[in-house]
Formats: sequence, C-alpha cells, structure tokens
Amino acid sequence: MAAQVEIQNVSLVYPNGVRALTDVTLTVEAGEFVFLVGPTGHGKSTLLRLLNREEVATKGKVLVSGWDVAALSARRVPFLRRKVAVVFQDFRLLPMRTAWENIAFALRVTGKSHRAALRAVPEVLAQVGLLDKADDYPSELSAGEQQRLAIARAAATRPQLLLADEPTGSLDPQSSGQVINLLAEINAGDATVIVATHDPAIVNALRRRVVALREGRVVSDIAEGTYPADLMEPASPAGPGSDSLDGPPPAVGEKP
Amino acid sequence: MIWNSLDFVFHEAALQLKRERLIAIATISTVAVLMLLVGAIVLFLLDLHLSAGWTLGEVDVWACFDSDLSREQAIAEAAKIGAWPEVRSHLFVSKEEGLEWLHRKVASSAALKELGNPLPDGVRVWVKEPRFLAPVAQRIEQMASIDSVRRSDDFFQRVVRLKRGISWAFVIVSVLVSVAGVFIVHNTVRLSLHARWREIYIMQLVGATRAITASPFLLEGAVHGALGSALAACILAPLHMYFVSATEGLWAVSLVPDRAMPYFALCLVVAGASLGIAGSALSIRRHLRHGREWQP
Repeated sequence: MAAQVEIQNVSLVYPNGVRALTDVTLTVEAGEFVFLVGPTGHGKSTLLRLLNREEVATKGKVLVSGWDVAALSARRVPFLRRKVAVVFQDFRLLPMRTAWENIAFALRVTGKSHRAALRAVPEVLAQVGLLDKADDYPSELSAGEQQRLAIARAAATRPQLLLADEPTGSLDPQSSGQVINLLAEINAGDATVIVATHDPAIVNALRRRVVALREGRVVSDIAEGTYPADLMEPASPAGPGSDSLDGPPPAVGEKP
Repeated sequence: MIWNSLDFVFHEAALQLKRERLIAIATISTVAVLMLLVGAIVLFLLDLHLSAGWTLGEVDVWACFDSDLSREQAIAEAAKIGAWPEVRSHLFVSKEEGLEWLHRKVASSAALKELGNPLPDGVRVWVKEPRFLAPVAQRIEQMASIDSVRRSDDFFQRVVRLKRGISWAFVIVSVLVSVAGVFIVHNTVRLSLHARWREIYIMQLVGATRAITASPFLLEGAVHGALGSALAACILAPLHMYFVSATEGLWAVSLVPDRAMPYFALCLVVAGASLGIAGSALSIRRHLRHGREWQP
C-alpha cells in the first residue's frame, strides 16, 4: 500500500506564538481509516488543516498523494483540494441552495458538466439516504441529515482523502452512528478517511486505527484501538459534543 | 472542461443578477448616469476636434516673392517651401491670379484697374499642424527671395489654445467620472461578495480555481457596466443626431456624423463593460487575497 499522507517532523507555531503542533510524524496508507483523538485544542483540527493547505507547517514536511503540500504554488492548491475533501462539525452548507444544488455546486465549480452533475447527485443523495429530500433547503433538514448532506457533497467529487473534523460534534448518538457508518462506507469504496474526534463512542464502536494527540504531540498510535482513557474529557451534559452518550450506542454497520 | 466552466460562470452570474436585481438596477442606473456624462464629453470633444480641424484647415501663410524674381525662379522657390516637412500643401499664385483674386474680393476695382498689376508672384502655404504656422512663417520671411509674409489671423491660434485647454479639462473630468464608475461597480460587487462569502469559501474548499471563483463576479461587473453604458448610448446617440440635424447650416463647421453613432455606442458599451470588469476585479482580488474564515 502506498502512503496517502506522510507527515514528517511537523511543527506549527501560530504568529501569536501559540504552539499548535510539535514534531509530529505520521504516515497514513491509502485506503486506511484513522481516528485522530485527543482533547479539544490539542492539535487535531490543525493537523487536518495542514493536509488541505489551510495552514502551512512552520517546520517539517507534509506530503499528500506524494505532493509536498507546503511547496505547492497558489495555482496548484485547488487541485490538491480536489483530492482532499473536508467535512466539518458545523456542516458548512449553502443555506440558499437546496440539497441537490449544494452537491451540484461542488461538482460544477470543479469543472464537471451539468449532465455529469445530473448523474452524480442522485447517486450520492441515495447513498446518504436523502434522495427524497433533494429539494429541501438545509434549514429544512435535521442536524444529522445536514451532516449526511455535507458528507454527500464531500463524497460527490470522489476524493482520494476525506477529512472529517468532529463530524458528530453536533449530533445525537443515533445520527452520529449513521454519519460514522457513512464515513466507513466511503472508506470501503477506496477513499482514505481521517476523522478528528473527541467522541469515544464512535471510536470504540468502529475499532480502527487510533492516533492520539496531546498538546500537539502524537502520544499513541494503535492499529485497532479504542479511545485512550487518559484523554477523556469530563462529560458536558449541555454541550453539543457527544463524549458521553446517554442514548443507545451508534449502530455501526447499519445503513443510515 | 472549459465549456463546463463557461456554462457554470454564465449560469451563476445570471442567477446572482436575478437574485440581487435591486442592487443590479441601482448599479446599472448609476453607471448609466456616469456614462452619459462621459459619453457627452467624448462626443463634445469629437465635435470640437472636427470643428477645430475644419477651421484650422483654413490656416495658411501667404508669401509674396521679390518682384525682381523671374516666374521660373518663383515657382522653384515655392516648390522648395512645399518640400518642407511641416508643410501640408502649397499653391503657387501668379501675379495675374493674385490680381484676379483681388478683383473678386474688392468690389470697387476701378481705381485698382488704373494701377495695372502691382502684385508680385506669391505662394500660399498650408501647414500640417497649427503649431507649425509661426516657425514656417518666420522661416519663409528669412528667405532672400521673399518680399513680405502674411499669416492667418491670430484668431486661429487662439482657437487652437482654447481647444487644447477644453480638451484637457474634459479629459480630466472623464477620467474622474470613469474612476467614480469603477468604484461604484467595486462597491456593488463588494456587497455581492459580502452576501456570497459562504459560496466563495465552499468554492475554495472543494478546489475551484481562482479563475472560476472570480469569473461570475467579473461577468456581473461587465454586465452592470455594459447595460449602464448601453442605456447612456440610447439617450446620447439620438440626442446628438437631433442636435446635428437641428443645427444644420447654422454654422459652417462639421460635427460627428450620424453614421458614426453606432460605432460610438459600441465603444461606449465596451468602455462601460471594461469599467465594470475593473471594478469587480478590484473587489474580488482583495477578497480572495484576504480570504474569510467560515462563521456560523
């Protein structure tokens, strides 16, 4: 298996002096499913932002599909981003466009024809179980449906690497299960998936590779791991995070 | 690929023009007012240029040869003057032709007839540009074969200076008005960018190139500019045509002809579209350079 992501001795210090990452080295093979875990503010999101060149490392090297991300010219960055799709906790959907249009928009801006969009959009909407909601606006969808739509948009461009930054952070346990199953399904279709999360339930349910970050450093890397107990955050009943699952655990393997 | 992108760009620009039609109407009408001003200035300058050109066509130097000079020598001297680079054309005027002209000009020519023909051979010289008039007259005056030189009235020189002054003043006004137009479109597109920052963010996130991201906005700016200018041209061209027909025969100057109006309108529309593109480019460049983080 070829390396999809190679992070070599990467450090990142923000202009205000905050050190986000320190000497991180990590390799992710093509087709892998990796959980990046750790408490909030310990570098998970920053690491993901390095992979689609939203941030540039102050030291070290980041290679994605063999491309040296920091060395890419501004002109080449869009072509990197066509290989690397991102899903966020807050979905980042276009409120003035329907579910169908949100996905078609992502396809059209990357040069796909209207005809190609007509073929691809129903396919991905069906994959995430939202075909009957194609004409609904994001505000008419539940949080779980919005996240599935965001995943559909990311998957529609057939990325080699899918990054998910706290994808279940705003969801109830059942929706979290559906979302994580979708990500696993996309991974089964050959895309490499990296999920940053501090949600132990989904990590423990899926039992995939778990890379733990603490204070910007990799502290453990386990092939079929669970959420490290020492990195658990205190439960916050009012918060949107699903560190503590009051409801039933996500039904992994079940279709959304 | 390129057709897909073009199709997307046109579709998005049309969608936004439809969605933000009130802003579009406001911009188009403001651009129309500005282009009306610019167009009127340009037409006035063209009219002025044509009129001044016609008037200055009459500017000449009249030199009389020394009466001792033979006809052949006078013709040769006249040809020498005609070969100067500043000279547009020359006309040898024999003393007989000169007398005939004098008879035509002076009504009571009985006394003149008694005098015989006191005129020497002469040459009429037209210069290429009015500014050459003085130096050419001076140079002719210095020739040994020349007895006297008469220049066209100073009035023409004053016309030239006035035309130059007016032209510069109006060019400066046009430039200022055009810059104002650029900023109006710039501000409209800024409003549009502000309203659509989410779409731009998503475009950049999924891998749209800068060209694809910027193109719908540039097209929008071009449409604002072109429609505003077309509106201005629709008002200006008929007005000028009416002015030309209404003043026909009132004065002996030429104005921009009616047949030139479609070209004038086309130039105005192209200028307006360019102005719109410049305004949009200014906004989108700034926006893309500084970017914007997603905010809920």
